[in-house]
Amino acid sequence: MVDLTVDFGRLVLRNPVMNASGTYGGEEYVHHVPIDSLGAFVTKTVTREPRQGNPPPRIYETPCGMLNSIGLENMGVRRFISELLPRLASSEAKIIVSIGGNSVSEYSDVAGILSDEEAVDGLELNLSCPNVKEGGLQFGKEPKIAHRVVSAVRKATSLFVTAKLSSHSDLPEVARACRDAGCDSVTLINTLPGMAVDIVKRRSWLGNITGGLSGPAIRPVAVYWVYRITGELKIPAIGVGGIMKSEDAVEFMIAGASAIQIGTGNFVDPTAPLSVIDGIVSYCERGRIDRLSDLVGSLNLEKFPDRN
Amino acid sequence: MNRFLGGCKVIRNDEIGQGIYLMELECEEIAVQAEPGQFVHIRVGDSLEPLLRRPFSVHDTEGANFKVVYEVVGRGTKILSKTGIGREVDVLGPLGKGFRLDEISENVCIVAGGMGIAPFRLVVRRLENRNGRVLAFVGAKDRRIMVGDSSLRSMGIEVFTATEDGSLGFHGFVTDLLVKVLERRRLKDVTLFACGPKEMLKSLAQIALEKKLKAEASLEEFMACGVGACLGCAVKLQDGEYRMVCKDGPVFRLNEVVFDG
Repeated sequence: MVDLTVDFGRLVLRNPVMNASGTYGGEEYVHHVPIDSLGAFVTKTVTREPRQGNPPPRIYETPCGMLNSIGLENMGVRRFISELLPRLASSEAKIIVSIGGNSVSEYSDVAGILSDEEAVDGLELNLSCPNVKEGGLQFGKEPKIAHRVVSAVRKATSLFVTAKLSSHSDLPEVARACRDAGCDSVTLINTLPGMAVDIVKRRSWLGNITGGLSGPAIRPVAVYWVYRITGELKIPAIGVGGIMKSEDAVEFMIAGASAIQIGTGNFVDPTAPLSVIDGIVSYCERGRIDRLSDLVGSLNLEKFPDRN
Repeated sequence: MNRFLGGCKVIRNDEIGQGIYLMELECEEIAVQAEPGQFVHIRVGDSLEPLLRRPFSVHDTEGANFKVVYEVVGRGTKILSKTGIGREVDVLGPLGKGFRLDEISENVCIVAGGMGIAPFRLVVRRLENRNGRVLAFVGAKDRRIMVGDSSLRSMGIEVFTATEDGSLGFHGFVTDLLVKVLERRRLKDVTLFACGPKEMLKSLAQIALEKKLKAEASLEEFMACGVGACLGCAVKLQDGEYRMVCKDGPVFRLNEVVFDG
């Protein structure tokens, strides 16, 4: 028996596999993947007020990936608590609520409200939202702002908190700020900014013009950041970006991820979380790895023996 | 309903018009459960490119098999068209909400533009044992890509064809042909079931409004999950809210759809 437990301190998971935020609304996939089988269920991003989302088209397929500009369509935290949360509450999986906002106080308000709910086991901060009050730059782009959000959330809750970050040149400094402000983990990475153009109409394929790129196309970028951030900062990371099968998940873990999330992969193969869990177990059994935590960050950095 | 996910054996995959194929797949769960207007979400291969599944209306069912018709328009349908008999294709379905057959008027007019023919063989099959007439209006750019008209005719319903270049049937838009026939026949108490390009549906919405006809249409949007999870395939309705083509549709009441939203 391989011990799949993931211990984040404030949160312990039975296994390392979660869905990525935005890819499960509620119970759409229970036919194929019982929520109980996941280490944690991650909700779509919840905001203080309901949001209608962006105008269509919201989806466009790109080489080995897809662009989306959903625009955080959600029912708002109050309705989330009364309508969706009760249906998830009885699950064996931990419930991690992704939260977003346009101001520091919106993050901390939503965190505080959710903190009172017994069914909530953790929060993932979607720091790719624009900071509307201060010029519209994403919270996760600037270390100082990221620090303020995480500090405010940390004051509002004692729950497990992970900050979900996108790839950019200041990411190490932002991740450090998140850690110093009290994050238990970082989720690496959110979608990359992207766009695609219909050359016949000379229009963007997305109603919102730009969107976020996900899928296998971004996996090497995500693996890179997991490797760098966990190596430099000694903070646990949840790896996400283009995981389709167990080999991809294992790759992230060797690079340093304590747990992983499957996003776009669910759309392609709805049973992916189950086959990824099974495949991780088989990999560990074959390699005589008793505890999954022994695999995390086990990257061999010695020089290639046969090269100079 | 028990949603199926798995491999379905290809029974046939024939070119029935220029670049247009009819694929028959073996899957009892889907064949037995599929309602007219529902769709299946097909992964065309194991490769990461193209990545996403593609939605196809269930064209018809026959015993333990179901059929889809598709036009080769991109990488996904190209691969599908090369899939040989006996091979397995990964299918999720049936999905979505179809045409409301329990709310129809005495007469039903089917209006199909191009590949919009896809859902209607199953619709006609389910309307077979009832009183009242079923007429079909099938439009295409030209005769080489006109498919499904003779197949519907063989089911014993009256079929009118229109081509934009006049190479077959009425010379012009299928919606203009519909108006002519409705007026010539003085048909009242009609429900319109439509599927086709947005421009066609838009003018059909106008016709339905003027003639006070009930109308439903199957819509299309880029889709990722197909099950209402990703919220990608949004369409705006008259109440100002977004609905998902995959879960709330693909069939909507035509007077509820905002075409410029």
